[in-house]
Amino acid sequence: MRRKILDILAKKKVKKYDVIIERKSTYPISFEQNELNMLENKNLIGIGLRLFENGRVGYSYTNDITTFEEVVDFARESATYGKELDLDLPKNTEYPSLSIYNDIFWDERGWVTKGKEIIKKIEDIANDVKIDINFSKSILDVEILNSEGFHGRYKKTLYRFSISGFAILDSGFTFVSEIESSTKPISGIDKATESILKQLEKARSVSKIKTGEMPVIFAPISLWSLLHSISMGISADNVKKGISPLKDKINEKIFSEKITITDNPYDYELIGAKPFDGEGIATKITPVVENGVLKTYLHTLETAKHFGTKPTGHAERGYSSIPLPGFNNMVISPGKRTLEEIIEDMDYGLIVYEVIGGGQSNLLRGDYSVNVGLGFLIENGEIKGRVKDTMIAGNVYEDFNRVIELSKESKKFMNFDIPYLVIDGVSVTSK
Amino acid sequence: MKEILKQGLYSFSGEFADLRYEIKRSSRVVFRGKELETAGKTIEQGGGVRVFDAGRLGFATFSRPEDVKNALKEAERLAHISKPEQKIHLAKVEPVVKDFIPELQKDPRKISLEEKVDLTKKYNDIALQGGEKIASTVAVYMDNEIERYYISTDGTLVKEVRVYSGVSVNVIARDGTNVQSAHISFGDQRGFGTVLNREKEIEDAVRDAINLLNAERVKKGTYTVILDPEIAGVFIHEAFGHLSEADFVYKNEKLKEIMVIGKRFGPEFLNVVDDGSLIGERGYIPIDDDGVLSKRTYLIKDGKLNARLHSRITAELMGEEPTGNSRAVSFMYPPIVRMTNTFIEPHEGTFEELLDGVEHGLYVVGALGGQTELEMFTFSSKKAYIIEDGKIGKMVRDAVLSGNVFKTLMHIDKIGSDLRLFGGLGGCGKAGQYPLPVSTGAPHIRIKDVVIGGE
Repeated sequence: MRRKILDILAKKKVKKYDVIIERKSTYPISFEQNELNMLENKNLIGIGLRLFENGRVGYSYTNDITTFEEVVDFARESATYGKELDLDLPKNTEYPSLSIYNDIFWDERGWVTKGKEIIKKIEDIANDVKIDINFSKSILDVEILNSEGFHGRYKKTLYRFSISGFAILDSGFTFVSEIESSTKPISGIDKATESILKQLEKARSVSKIKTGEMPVIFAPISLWSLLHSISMGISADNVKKGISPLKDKINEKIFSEKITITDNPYDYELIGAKPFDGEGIATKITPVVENGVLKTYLHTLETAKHFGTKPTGHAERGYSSIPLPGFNNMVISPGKRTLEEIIEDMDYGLIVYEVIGGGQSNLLRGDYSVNVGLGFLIENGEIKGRVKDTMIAGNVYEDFNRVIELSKESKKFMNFDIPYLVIDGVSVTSK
Repeated sequence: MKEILKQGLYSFSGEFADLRYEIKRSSRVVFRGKELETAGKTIEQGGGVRVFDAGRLGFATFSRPEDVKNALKEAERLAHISKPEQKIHLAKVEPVVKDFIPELQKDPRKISLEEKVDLTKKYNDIALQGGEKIASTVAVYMDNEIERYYISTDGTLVKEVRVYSGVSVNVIARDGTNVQSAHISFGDQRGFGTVLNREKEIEDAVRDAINLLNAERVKKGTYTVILDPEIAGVFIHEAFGHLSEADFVYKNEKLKEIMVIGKRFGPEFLNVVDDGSLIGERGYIPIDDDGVLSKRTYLIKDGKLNARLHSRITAELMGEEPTGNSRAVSFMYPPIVRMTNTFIEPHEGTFEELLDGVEHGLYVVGALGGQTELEMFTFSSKKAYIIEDGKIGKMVRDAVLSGNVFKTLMHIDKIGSDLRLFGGLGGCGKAGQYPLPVSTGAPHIRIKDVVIGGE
């Protein structure tokens, strides 16, 4: 494949370019509403070309090497309209060797049996629950090559287990979910199942919550849209465009001093782990926010050139996308006390496990306004019943200044490693 | 192409197999601020096969037409491992042997990339020239030509071509740390004409972004709301349409008890339709991915639940008729039950008549997005206006509606006559399959007692 691509680029006299070749095979086994879905095997090859001609950049991609010549013409045509850009593409450099490729035998029959066991176990305890389960293994093979002679290739395995339970309880429709993921085979399947059962049990009773401002504990997965806002703000591309609220904030305090955020591309339990980014720049552990102070933006070759700094290894790129800055793995440092201790000390508040409607507000500005999908009243240090018809709203750049505590325990999921966060004075509206 | 695929598929000797193969050629132009970020063309192609064997099912994808036989073997292997609780079979339908090729007045495939760049630039410039408060813009033009083949061992042999084109413009206005945006998109399968002469709508979006800077956040509370056709369409798709998808219902006894055909769901003048056969709409499909011809299905008729959306699998399981709603977002996925063009039928009354009698309410305009978890929904609007004594008052921002769909449908008290359908460039997401082209729409509708979150 690589030989063929280089031959075509030489034949077509393309002088400056980089190419990403992605091969991905996925073997998902899923259960929907307690029943096994059809088994699938998905294979995809993608080839993405970026070329630089007459001071401009052009892109194209295909899934089929036999159309790559046409794709070179497409990229050329694209470059005639492309923005003015000339980059110093990396030459062959050292990059770390990570243990992210763990191609263990994928026992499809075994997973079918395991899924049925889990469902039986949950049905025995709560027969009104419908369960969705997904076990999957993917093998990702990424190659980057460029006209400076860089050739990097890594293989990575992605294992994922997700389970969600849906029940029509007396307290209303209820959703609970857990997700485990890693580049190594998943070990926490039984623990996640226990957690689902526990949440469902708790969701059976309902409590009324007051409308007003109060401390809210956000479970790691419920923070997704807030974290996404922060990622957008820290992207040097959005800063360059002048649309990030974090413009001109380097070395300034942006969040509570309790917040420390790091990008860790080397943790093999997080699926964004990789030795080099989508442009061939070696990745490294990057402190992004230290004790509430913004230390750096995340860069691609293009934004680093614009800001006169070094690229940071944060170019996110698939074969069909252009490189944009983003976290490899976003890690928020944990606090000192356990969730249990934090709850014990809370007089009146809310703990939120699931939100509905995340990502619909003005994410760039950091606004959120979401319905509480699964959340519980906390009163006098105890978790009470589930709250219904309740919304929470605020702004991440304001609210992260009122983070009063982070839990000792963190949750690793997808490319996040996040503790529970306690934010004071969150606006809660209940019907 | 058809012959190679057919020969590959017909090498299969088991109970039933079908395949889809797609070749998708796309053009895309993106302006961000003053910069032309990208203008280019791409190719995506590949296929997927399903194998049904004694009530078991397997699916495998492949890249080249010559690879069908290998994919069939892999799908057959997976079907044999599978041990479903309930045997899966397909409802019987008449085989279809036909080509569906659209007739387009202005074919986007015949328009040069240069013309597409110029058009996008023109729209982007309108946004950029909106004044000093305009911080940034994103203008996107996109078209896809998808050549699709559907072949099944029970005799269906279809080639079809779908041509989508559309534009979206996002305007970001900024005043100090206050950042607001407005978004507009239009797109369907009618050809390049759809994206022409849209200057005024973009000017309106620019004005909205600037006005939102000075708009206060909506006061939280319970309001009588009037939804404009755009957000009313999103509401009916998100909050109700998904509950009509039979795959949600068929295995769940309790949900079946709620979604009972004939049960009252709203006022008698409420009619909700899904219709995949509307040529030219973004959600138009001549035939679904099970080989079933598209048609009009009344989900709610005269306020009562009338039918639900089916694939051949769910129709067989529930003993109902297939509705032509089995769709996959691409060859990488097996088809599942999806919507097409979903809307509330027009009733009577002008916008003014809907305003009449609203003492203190909210007029909610445009949809940024929506999400549901079965009976609970939230969806956010582009902008809203206070209604005082039947008159439109000042603009407010961040109106997010939420509630229980069954209660909310019962609270619809007026439906206007001004139906509009919206396609755009995005689509619907379900089970990881996004964005599936759909249209949604409604007339203006009025609903009592809707919870609005905010300050």
